[in-house]
Amino acid sequence: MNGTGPTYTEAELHAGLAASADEEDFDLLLTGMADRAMTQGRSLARRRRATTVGASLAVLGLAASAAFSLRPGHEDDQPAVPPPAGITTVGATALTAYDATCFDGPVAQPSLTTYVWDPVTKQYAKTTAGPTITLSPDGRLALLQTGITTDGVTSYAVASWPDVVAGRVPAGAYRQVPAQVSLKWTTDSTGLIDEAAGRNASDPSDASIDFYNPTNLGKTARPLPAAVVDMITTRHAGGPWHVIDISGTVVDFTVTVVSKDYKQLRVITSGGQTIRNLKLPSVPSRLVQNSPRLAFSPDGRYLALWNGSGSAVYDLATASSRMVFHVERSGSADGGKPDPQNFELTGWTAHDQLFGVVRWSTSGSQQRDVHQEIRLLTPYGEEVDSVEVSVPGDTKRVCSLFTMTIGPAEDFPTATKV
Amino acid sequence: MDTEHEQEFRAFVAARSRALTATAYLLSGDAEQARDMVQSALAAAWVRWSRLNDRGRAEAYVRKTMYHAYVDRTRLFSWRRERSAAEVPEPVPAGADIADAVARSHDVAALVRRLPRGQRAVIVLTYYEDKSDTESAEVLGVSVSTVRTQRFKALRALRVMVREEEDERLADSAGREVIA
Repeated sequence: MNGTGPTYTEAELHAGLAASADEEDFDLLLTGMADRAMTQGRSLARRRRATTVGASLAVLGLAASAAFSLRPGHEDDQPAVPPPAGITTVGATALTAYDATCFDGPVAQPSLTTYVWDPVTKQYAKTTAGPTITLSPDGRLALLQTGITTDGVTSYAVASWPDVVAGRVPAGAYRQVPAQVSLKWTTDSTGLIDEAAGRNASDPSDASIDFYNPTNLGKTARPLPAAVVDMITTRHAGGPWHVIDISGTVVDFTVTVVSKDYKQLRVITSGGQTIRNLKLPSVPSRLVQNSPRLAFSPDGRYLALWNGSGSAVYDLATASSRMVFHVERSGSADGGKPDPQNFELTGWTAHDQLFGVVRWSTSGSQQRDVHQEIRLLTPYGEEVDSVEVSVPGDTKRVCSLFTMTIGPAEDFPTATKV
Repeated sequence: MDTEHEQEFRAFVAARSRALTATAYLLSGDAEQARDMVQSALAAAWVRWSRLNDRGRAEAYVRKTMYHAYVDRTRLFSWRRERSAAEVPEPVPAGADIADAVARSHDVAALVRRLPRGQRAVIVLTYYEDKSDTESAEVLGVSVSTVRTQRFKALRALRVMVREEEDERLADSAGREVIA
């Protein structure tokens, strides 16, 4: 306030702001700032290379041709949860492969067309009868899985991305395994985990986790932690829990077990230590009934549960976990525009970014077009970014879209990004 | 990152984190949010520390990252959720000393925190950091004319806030204005 009248001068604005900043004692807040920033920075650098998310897409019965167009478009032992970091990874994720399954008329014989990003031609290369592809977290290798045969066998191979794009993966590279084996990458991209381990651990022979070497698909078994085995057997008081997730590396992994009603979860290390013991206040019944998948955000603050019927996200930073986002799919995608209620979650691309899709169709007099919008959301369901993939339709074919895998944009700089 | 880089980074954080947090506090109005903003910007700087050859540019980089994350509406992070209770001036209790009420209602920082993000950023850059319009434009990644427009709107809004509060609370006293 100046001395001549009712006016703030620039100097008084400056002084007022400076006084406000000086009043605060930041010293306690700044203790350990360098360490926290470096830890967060390292995590950020890892995430920039580790944005592979397994795809899960439901089927839409819609008329379409095979021509695609892209339009860019708690308990006491709870560890401290770090504060969320405000660094966006919008544009850090590239769509590296997607596919369409089309049925010609009433005959249920699908034709599978896979589109993989070719960094050389800067186009999505079209292949037929391609395997399911999952990029390694570092974006350097791809895990390939063929379909399941009638006698219950599936096959896996690991190949470089150029070999996948060029179709240079020989049949001899595949290893046959029982269909119940479900491989995924270890977080350090140096191995593969059979995430189906422990799903039937009432059988003592199933009380181990199989890891595979990506170079030769050689198998190494490691025992499930005794604490996990105790909880998933029928002898466990209050009924058996079950394994919902196995993540980490061959050397250092965690097993997440969940109670029958999904209201209690424990994360147990390979050494048998319980590092998280969570109680969820409510879990939507449609999630409980259909074996949801589970994923913690990279910084451990949020927990996402999802299946084909919906998704729920919990904030674990507060004293009692609370659900901050929940959608149940409406089942109808014919509204002519994207319905946020039809968001299908597939995982996290950053500590505070959910990755998923919304699909819908638009109808004309002769055709129905299929649209798929890949979306990044905050844990609270607010849209951060999106990109649309659409399929021009026709009257003869019924197609479904699948986002197969995504990768670090820095390794696929010219691919469609989100 | 080698030990030398780590030592440099620690020294930089020790020297500048308070000043950075003060700026973040003026933007967010909340000390913990300010800490998170600074920490996140420092984390981004650490990722590219080895490429920040001119250490003098490190602070500029951190500040730019902080302002961008703050202003960019597409970057929706939980630390940016406004805590309205911290931004609305407290009502004047009955019988309170009127001079104190004036001081509280006209608290510059409280009024600035009621501005939209873009305008608030320009005010903090201009009147706290003493940046020129050109420098502010560079930090925010906008044109100089946008900076001037935002500041004009901010000052006009501050003036209106002062008038409204005084009309409501000090009907019998002369109104004060922000810079004309």
